Amino acid sequence: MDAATAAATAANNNLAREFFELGEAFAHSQTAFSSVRHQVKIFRGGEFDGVCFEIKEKYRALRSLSGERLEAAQVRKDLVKADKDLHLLLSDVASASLVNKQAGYDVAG
Amino acid sequence: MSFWKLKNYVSIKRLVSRGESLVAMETLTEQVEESGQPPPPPQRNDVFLLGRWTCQLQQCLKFLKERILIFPRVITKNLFFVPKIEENLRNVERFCSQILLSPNCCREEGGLDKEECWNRFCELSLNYFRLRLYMVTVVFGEADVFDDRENLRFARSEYLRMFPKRSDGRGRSLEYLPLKAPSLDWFREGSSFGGSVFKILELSMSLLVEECVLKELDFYEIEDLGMGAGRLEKYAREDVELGSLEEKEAVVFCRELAASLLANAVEIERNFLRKQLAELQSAAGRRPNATNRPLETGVDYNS
Repeated sequence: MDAATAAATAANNNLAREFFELGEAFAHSQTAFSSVRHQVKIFRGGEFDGVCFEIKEKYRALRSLSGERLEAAQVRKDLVKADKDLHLLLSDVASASLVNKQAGYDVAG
Repeated sequence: MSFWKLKNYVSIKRLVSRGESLVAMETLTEQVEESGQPPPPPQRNDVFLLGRWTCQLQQCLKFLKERILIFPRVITKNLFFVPKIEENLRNVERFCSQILLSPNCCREEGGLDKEECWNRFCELSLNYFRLRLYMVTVVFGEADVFDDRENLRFARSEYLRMFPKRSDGRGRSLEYLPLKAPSLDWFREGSSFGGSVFKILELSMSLLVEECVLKELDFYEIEDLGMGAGRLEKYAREDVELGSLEEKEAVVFCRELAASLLANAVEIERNFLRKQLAELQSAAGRRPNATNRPLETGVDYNS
């Protein structure tokens, strides 16, 4: 294998590895979202439904990205956005649950 | 002409159009011809989906393991199946490392090409469904899900086929399956082409639906469960001709259905475990001397 072919192979391998890891990251992000959404459902406040819907839409958009024009940078950017919203939601849900618990409401979950 | 060659020839044409000498063009042409054709770029969408679905498969296997450790209390004989799940998990991890090692046809390095990756993924997913069918119906004793004894026999025989007996007679292990290169064998093995594969997927789908109903699980996160049932039934009924276009379609259908069932299984297993833990906690809360100590399941979850 000459230098040019080796370099092209290495670049391809790095690209494939990156997409594989992005796929894994997406699956983990969805799993985490599912857990937070369960807490939101138990909380029954309704105030987080809109955020949940928005995050779900972001995942749907990510899922619909397909074909060989899929760009790693774009996928990563979308995933980071969804993760950022997810962390914010998690923090808000945790705060709301604590406040409610302090007030004596049962928000176990 | 490959994309790579085309790109080089375009570079050459550009040089010419810019008025560069013919010598430069000849040099570049020689470089392309000498270097040969580099491997094609990876199929981005395929690798992305592989990453996503393989991760779901790992989660499913881990949930199954947790179910043994939680459901409904730790039963010593059920712990026997933990190593079986770990064997499957190791195989999935090995598959991931093969993809990460050289995901683009570098066979000499132990890498897999696109088709091999998909075949291995399907093989590993079906092993999970085989194991799950056996665990839920036979080990956890939820056999009433299947009234049909034939289905129970099928679940048992698929499990036994998956874990051949060790040569020294000490139990069964996945390791004793002959190590083969990934191929369409996962689909072609069985009484007729795809026959047993369709049955595994059909029973797994029924089992997931039944579990949701029987255990009153929440459908909140569950999507598309049961989709493709009609097509599945059709394939299960009719023989698929080897190498035909229909076989190719059936293989892709199996792969997508397996991925969809995996996604649903993640949610169903998690909901099931939540429910199970909530019941355990409420039972602990009802005990007269209940304290805030962790549940006495007999298992050290930190180990």
